[in-house]
Amino acid sequence: MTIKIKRFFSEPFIQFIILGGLLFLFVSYMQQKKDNEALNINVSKEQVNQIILNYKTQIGSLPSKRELDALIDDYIKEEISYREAKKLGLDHDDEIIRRRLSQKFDFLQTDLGEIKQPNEEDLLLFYNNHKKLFSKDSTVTFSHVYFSTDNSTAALAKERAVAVLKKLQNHNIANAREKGDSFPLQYDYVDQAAVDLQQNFGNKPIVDFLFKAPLKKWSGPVASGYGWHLVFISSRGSTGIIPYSLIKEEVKSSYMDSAKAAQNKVAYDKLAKKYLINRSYLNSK
Amino acid sequence: MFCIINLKICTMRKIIHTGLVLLVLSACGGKDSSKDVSVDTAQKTTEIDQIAENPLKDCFFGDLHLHTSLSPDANMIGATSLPEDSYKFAMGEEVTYMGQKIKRVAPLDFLAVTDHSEYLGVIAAIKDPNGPYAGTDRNKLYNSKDQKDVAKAYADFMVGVIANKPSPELNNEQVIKSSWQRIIEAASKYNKPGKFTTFVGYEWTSMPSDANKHSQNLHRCVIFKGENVPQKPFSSFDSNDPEDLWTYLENARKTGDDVIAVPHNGNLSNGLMFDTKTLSGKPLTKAYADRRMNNEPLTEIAQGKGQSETHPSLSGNDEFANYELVETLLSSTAKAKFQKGSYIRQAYGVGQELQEKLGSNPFKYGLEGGTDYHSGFSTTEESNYPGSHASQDNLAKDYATILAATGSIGGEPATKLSAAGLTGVWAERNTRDAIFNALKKKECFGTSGVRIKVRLFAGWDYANNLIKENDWVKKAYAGGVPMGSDLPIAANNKKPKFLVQAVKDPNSGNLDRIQIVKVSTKNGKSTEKIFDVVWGGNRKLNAKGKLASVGNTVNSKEASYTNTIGAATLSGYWEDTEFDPQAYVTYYARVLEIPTPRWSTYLAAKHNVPLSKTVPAFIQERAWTSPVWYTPAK
Repeated sequence: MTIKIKRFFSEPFIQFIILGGLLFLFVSYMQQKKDNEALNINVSKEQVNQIILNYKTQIGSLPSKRELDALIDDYIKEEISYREAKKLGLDHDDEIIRRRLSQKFDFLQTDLGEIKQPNEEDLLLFYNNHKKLFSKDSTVTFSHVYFSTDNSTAALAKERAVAVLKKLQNHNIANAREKGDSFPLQYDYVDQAAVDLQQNFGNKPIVDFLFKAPLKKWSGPVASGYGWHLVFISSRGSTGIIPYSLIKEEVKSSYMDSAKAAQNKVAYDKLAKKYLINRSYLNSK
Repeated sequence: MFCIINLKICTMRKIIHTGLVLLVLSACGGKDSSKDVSVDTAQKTTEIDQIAENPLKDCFFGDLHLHTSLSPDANMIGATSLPEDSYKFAMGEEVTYMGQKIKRVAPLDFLAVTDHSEYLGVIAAIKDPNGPYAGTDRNKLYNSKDQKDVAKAYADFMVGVIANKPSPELNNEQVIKSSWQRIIEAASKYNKPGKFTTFVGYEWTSMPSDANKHSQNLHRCVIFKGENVPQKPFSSFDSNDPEDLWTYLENARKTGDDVIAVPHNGNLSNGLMFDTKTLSGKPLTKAYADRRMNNEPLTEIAQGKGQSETHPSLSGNDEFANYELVETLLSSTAKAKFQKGSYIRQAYGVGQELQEKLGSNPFKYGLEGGTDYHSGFSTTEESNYPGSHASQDNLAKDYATILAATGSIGGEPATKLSAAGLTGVWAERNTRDAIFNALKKKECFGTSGVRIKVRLFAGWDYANNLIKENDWVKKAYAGGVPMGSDLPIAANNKKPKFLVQAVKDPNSGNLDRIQIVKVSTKNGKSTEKIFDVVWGGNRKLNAKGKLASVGNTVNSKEASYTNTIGAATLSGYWEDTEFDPQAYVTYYARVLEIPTPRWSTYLAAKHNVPLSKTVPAFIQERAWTSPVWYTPAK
């Protein structure tokens, strides 16, 4: 009998059944325990403090006793429906939740590491490697003679300008202004970008003209918002790079932006490496 | 609901984050690093010192009145801009507005973003999916695109504004303070001494309505000289009485940078702006007058919602008074009942009447101009105006309806909004110090949005041909006073003499004329008189002293004009031969352009739709100088 029993238990099939049964009991015990826990909602002191703090942040004052009770009830209601929703799998394949989680993660990840304050050397290196960021608009330096159309006509003023241009052809800029009318603003302009010219002379032909006309000789007449002009362009500032000493602060702020962006990219790349991306949409068949 | 809990944690993290930054910053206040800071400041100061100064002053143009999406109303109507965007646009960059690319033809030289302090930034925070209101019903309502919800949301926040009793849930101190910081930081970032000046500012939005059930506008823009400013703007929720605002300004000056307030839209104040009693109903005193002028040297003469110079009913002899009038009180459909107390020209007289009695003039205001746009962008160019109130006048989309004048902003059709205005400042250079000092000295003027450069000087001994000399400005400063100043008392029966010069905006029409407006007071009676001083073309004054109209070249179908009339520059000399040394006098110059197409005309031509019937097809843009004052010897 004992042998029979022994044999019975030594049958692999029986062992399998028994172990299976035990496993079943254990699993269902654990499941039940988990289910019981899942039905517990514990509102801790910390949680209540958090609720109070949130209220204070939003409203600016502490909640009254009644308000707090209501907030706690809200919290419980929210937690219950949250868990039920999760049970139903409502969190899966929900575009909004997906995006929110991703945003939240990004927010937590972004700008995590502190950027080391750059020293002079770092900044200079950055400046030299990113000169394009610190270039200035092309500019023009010129003098002009003005021909007013006030108490006259545009045609007559232009005729006068043409006549003066003939006389000035072989002259330098000295004293030329007296050959025209009195101009209420300046006669000589230094380093004017197109946008400055639009401000000072209007969005008129003179703006383009100053960037095209030959250097170091009188040319025109060309129209501005005030009348006609002859212009003598002494130089044009190319799209030069602004000297480092003048824009240290801008260099620093660009440096910090760029360092942050680089750091965020490194962090992302590190994370992305963990994943194997299968771009199956690219498979031709 | 899942989101809510976590969002809150998220917000907490932000707050903790900010807290950490603050901690780090305050930790930097230690001995060693404070040295760095002072070195840094010293370096900056030297850099600013190196910017060239023109002792005869240059003219700079800017806007001291502009709203971004941090203003609750602007946000409600769909503005999305932030102060950073406003500065970029003002400096000449291209930006996107209501889906359109927009860019100024001529950039500005300075700008102050002046968002409403009441619920500052709160609507933006309510809409923010990551903000403190995330997941609340308000968050949903305010984000809704449904027009019914938009109206509901608008009503939700307007209740407290109109009653001047903030809703505790909307009056979120944390949000207001962080929005204020954001404004300060943006101003700090875009201030480029020598190139472009920014000012930290905001709008105090008082509009008492107890008396007549309609909002009476007493708004003031507050402009700080620097960034050492109080932690929080003083709002009309704190008090809607300007005297309390002045207390705030006085305290701010004691603990930080200098600051001024600029009242605007007297035209919508229903007689309250320049009232002869205080808001609390007391008679004006000398102390009140001194305090008022010390805190608010300037008033805004023109802006999007009309001009506040004068009204045809107050100035029957002024054929140019009927210009860009807006009279419907804010948030109502009621028209202003009282013109007296609403317009500055009449107030100049009343101020002098009070001065006779009290010994001080409470309305000795210099003039400036601003836009008050709720788009975030100072779009003052008539031919380049994309609308100014977001969804309420989206000219890219709703041009046909808007020109047909059915839409309504504050009770007026959107066509009545003006592409205006700007402040012109005469300053040694384009820095905060120089421009703020000029504003305080009232050496500034307002325009209807154009960049007319106008100078005004007054003295007793100017020669009548001085203005023809090349160095006349130097001599004018040496021998007299510029706009915004007092004429000193003269000896032996001299008459005051004036020098005026205006140079046209090279992107706008020629100039028609320069006038001097004289408001004179004696024995409690005030009179106003307008003198044409200098004009374009070969016109003569008629027997009654009137100058013929300059004419009109506007082709409204094509929205075009020619500069064949008027003049590019006008320079004039004028002597007040009727001067009475026993009378109090305010003199200011007004410069008129030739007629040019109004923005509504450009819009109609662009889309080939009928012209608006609500507004004229053309306007005469203009500039108004700060006055020169004369006070009789006792």
